[in-house]
Amino acid sequence: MKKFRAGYAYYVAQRLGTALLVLLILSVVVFFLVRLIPGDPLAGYYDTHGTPSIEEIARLREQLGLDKAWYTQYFEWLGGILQGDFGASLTKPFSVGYQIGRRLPYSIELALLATIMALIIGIPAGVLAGQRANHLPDIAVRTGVMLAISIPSFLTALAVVLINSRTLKWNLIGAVSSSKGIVDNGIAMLVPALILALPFSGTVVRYLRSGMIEELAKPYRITLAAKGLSDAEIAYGHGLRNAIIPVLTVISVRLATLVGGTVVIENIFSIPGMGKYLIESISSADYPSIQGAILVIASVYLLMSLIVDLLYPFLDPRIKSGVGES
Amino acid sequence: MKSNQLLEKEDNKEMRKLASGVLAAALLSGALLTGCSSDDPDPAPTSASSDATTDGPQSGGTLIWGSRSEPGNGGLDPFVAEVYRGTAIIALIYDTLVTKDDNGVIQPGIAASYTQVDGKTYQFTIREGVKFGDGSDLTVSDVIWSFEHHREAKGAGDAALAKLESITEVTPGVVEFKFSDDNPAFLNNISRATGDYFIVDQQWYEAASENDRQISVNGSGPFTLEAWEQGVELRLVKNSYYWDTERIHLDGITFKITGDDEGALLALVQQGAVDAAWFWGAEYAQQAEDSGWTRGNAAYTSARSLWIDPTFNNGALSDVRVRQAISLAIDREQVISLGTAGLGGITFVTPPAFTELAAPSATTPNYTRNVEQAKTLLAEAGVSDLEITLTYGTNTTDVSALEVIAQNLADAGITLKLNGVPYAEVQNVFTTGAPFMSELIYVVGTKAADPAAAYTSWLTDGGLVSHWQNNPDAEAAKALLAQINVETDPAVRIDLLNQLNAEVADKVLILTPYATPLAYHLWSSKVHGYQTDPQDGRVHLRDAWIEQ
Repeated sequence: MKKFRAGYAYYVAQRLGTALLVLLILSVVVFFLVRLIPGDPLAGYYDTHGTPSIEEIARLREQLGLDKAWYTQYFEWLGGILQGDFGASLTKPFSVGYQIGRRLPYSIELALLATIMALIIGIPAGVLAGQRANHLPDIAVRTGVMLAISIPSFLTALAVVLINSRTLKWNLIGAVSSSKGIVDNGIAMLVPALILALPFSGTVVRYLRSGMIEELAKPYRITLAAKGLSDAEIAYGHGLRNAIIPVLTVISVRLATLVGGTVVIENIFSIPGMGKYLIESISSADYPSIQGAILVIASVYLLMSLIVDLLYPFLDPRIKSGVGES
Repeated sequence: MKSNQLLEKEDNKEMRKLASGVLAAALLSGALLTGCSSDDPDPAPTSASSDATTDGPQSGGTLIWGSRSEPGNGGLDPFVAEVYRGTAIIALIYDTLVTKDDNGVIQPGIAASYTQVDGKTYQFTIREGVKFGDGSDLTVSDVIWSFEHHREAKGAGDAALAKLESITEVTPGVVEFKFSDDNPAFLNNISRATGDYFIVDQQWYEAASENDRQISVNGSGPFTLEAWEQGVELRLVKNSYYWDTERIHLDGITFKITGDDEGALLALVQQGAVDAAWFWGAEYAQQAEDSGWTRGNAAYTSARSLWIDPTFNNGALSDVRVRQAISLAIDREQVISLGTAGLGGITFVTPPAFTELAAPSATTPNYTRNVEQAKTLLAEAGVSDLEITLTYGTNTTDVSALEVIAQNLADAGITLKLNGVPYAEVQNVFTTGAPFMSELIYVVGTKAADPAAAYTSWLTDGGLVSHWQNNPDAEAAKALLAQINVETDPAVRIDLLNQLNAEVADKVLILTPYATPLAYHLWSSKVHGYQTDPQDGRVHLRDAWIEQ
C-alpha cells in the first residue's frame, strides 16, 4: 500500500505538471493566434455610430493598452490571470472574469445534463445490445445508434424549434437565469440537453456494446452463471464494471468538449454559454475575451482528463499495479 | 431588362432561400426558418398599432422586447457608450435638453423652452422639478457639467461642442451656450435620441467607479435599470421620479437577449415568448409579420453605401466616367425588389429619413439604369473587361442585394467580385484609417444627428476614410460641405445639402444603391401606442402600453 501511495503521488505530480505545462504553452499560442485574427479590436466601440476622430482612436488605444508592445501585453495578461484577473473586455462593459463566471455555469449545466441523459439512455441500451448481440434487441439498438450519430445535432435542434414554433409553441428559446429558480432554469435546458445527449448516447452504446460482448465471452461468466446469478446480475454486477472503463474516457472527453463545443446548440436555443461567448468574442476581435474563453475551455478539458487519469488506478487494477511499480 | 440568369434566380427564389438557409444553418441557425418563409413579394407597410380598445391605455405590465444584442462597450455609461444598441436603451433612461419629434421638429426636453439668439448663441430654460432616478434634483449645474464633461471626454471628436466658448447660467434657470463660430448643426446634434448628449447627475457620476457607470444608471428618463443579466436579459422598470410620469403606462420593459442569431429571435416571436422585437434581416421581419405581428412604419434610416477608394490598385475608379458607368449599370429598383424583399427605397448618401431633404428623382444624375450609356462611358474611358472587388462584412443580411448589383454590373461588362470578410476587418478601415482592401467597401450607414455628418469623414481632407485629396472631381462637393457647416439659415442650408447630394451623385463620389430601415420593429396585438421612431431608437416605448 505504501508503495502504491508513493507511486500514486508521483503519478499525480506528473499528470499535474504536464497539465500546467500544456496550459502555459497554450496561453502563449492563444495570445499570438488571437492577434492574427483580422480586424481592429476597436471596431466594437463604433458599431453603426459613425467614424471616430484620429484623436479619439489614439485615446482609446492607449486606454485599452493596445499601444503597448506585444510581450508587455502578454506578461501583463498572464500576471493578471495568476491573480485571478482575466482582464477587461474590449467590447463589453463586464470584465472577462465576470463574463466567464456567468457563462461557464450554463455550459457546465448543459454538458452535465446532456451527459446524464446520454448515460441514462446509453448504458441500458449498450448493455442490452451486448447481452443480446446480433439478436433483435441489438439490431434495434444499433439502428437507433446509427440514426442518433448520423443526424447532426443542429439539424435536430432546428427541426425541433421549427416544429415547436408552428405547433406547440412551448418556450424553448432563451436561458432562464438560475436566480429565477433552479427548476425553471433546469427545464429550459432539458430540450437542448436531450438533443446533445442523443449522439453522445450513441457513442456510449457503441463502446459499451463491444465491451460487454468481450466481457460476457470471458470464462468468469460461466462460473457466475453456475453460481446461480441471473443474466442481469452478471451483466450489471460484473460485466458492466469492466466494460465501462473505456467508456469513462469517452465520457470525460465528450463532457469536456460539450463545455466549450456546443456553439450551434447554444445559438439555436440562445443559451449564453462558453461556446457562444467564444464565437461572439472572435467575431468582435475581443482579444482578452478570446484568450480567457479558450484558456478556460482548455482548462476544463485538461481537468476532465486529469480526473479520469487520477481515477484510473482505482478503477482498473492493472493500472493500479503499474502505478505501484513506478 | 433582366438577364436570363437573374430571371432564373427570381424564378427559383424559394429554392435559393432554402439553399442559403441550409448553408447558414451549418454555421449557426435560423436558416431553416428562413427557408420556410412565406413569400409575399410586396407587403404593404402597416400603420401604427391600432388602439382599438375603447377603454383607452391600460397601465401596468411589463413589455418583453426580443433583441439580438445588448449594450456593448461602454455599457450604459451615457458618455462612453458608443454603440447603437447601447444608446437605444440609454435613450429610455436619460433625457436630452431638447428632443426631435417624428417630423424632425425640435421639441422641449429637460429644457422647457429654448431660444436661438444668433448663429453662435443658444439659451435654454431648464424645466423645474425634474429629478433623477435616485430622487435627487436635476440642477442647472448638472446640465452645464454634462456638456462640459462630454466635451472633455470626447475631445476633438465632439461634433456639437467643438467650437464651444462657454456654457453659463445667464439668469436663474437659463443656460447659455456660446460658440466661437456659427454652429447650425448644434440643435440637431444635441437632440438626437440615440446620440450621447444626455443630462447626467454629476454627483452620482463622479462618485461611481468607471465600471459601475457602465452597469448601473441614474437618469431622469422614464425608465431605470432594475437588472442586467449579461446574455440573458436587461430589465428596465418605471422611474417613479420621472417628470412626465403620467405619460408612462408600462411598469417595465425587459429586453430578452438572443445573441446574433435572428432565427432564435424569430422563434421567440412565433412561440409568443416576447411582445415586440426588432430584426435586421428583412426576411425575418416578414416572417414575424406573417405570424400576425405589426411591422412598424419605419423610415429609411440606413443608406447602404458602397464607399469608393479611387486610388485603389491601379486607380481604375479615379476616372469619373468609370464611376458613372457603375452607377448607371445598377438597377436600383431591382436591387430593392430582390435584395431587400421590397423593403427599401432609393436614396442619396443622406438617407430618406431626412424628410426635409429632396429625394432622388428621375432626373438625378446616374440613378436611372442605362446599360448602353454605361458601356459607352467605359469605352470613352478606354476601359474594357473592368474587374473590381467589393468587400463586405459577413455579418450583413444584405448579401443578396450585393449579388444583384454584381449581376447588374455584369450586364455592362463589369465584373464585380464579392469579398466577404469579418465585420471587424471592415471596421478596421474606419477605426484605424487602414487602407481599403478593395475598390469598394460596403457600409451600413445610420441616420446621423445632422445630415452633413454623412459627408464629413469622406470629404474632409485628412479624414480617416477620405481618399479624395487632390482629386478635382471632389472639389465642388468639398466647397458645398464647407458652406453647409457654417450656414445658419435652415432653408438655405437645406438647399445646399440638396445641391451636395446631387453633386455627389453626379460625380459618383459614393455609391448609394438603396436605403432601408436600420432595423424592423415588430410587435404583437397586445402592444398599443407604439410606433417606430425615425431614429430607430425605440423612444416611443415611452408611450406604449400593453393589454393585461
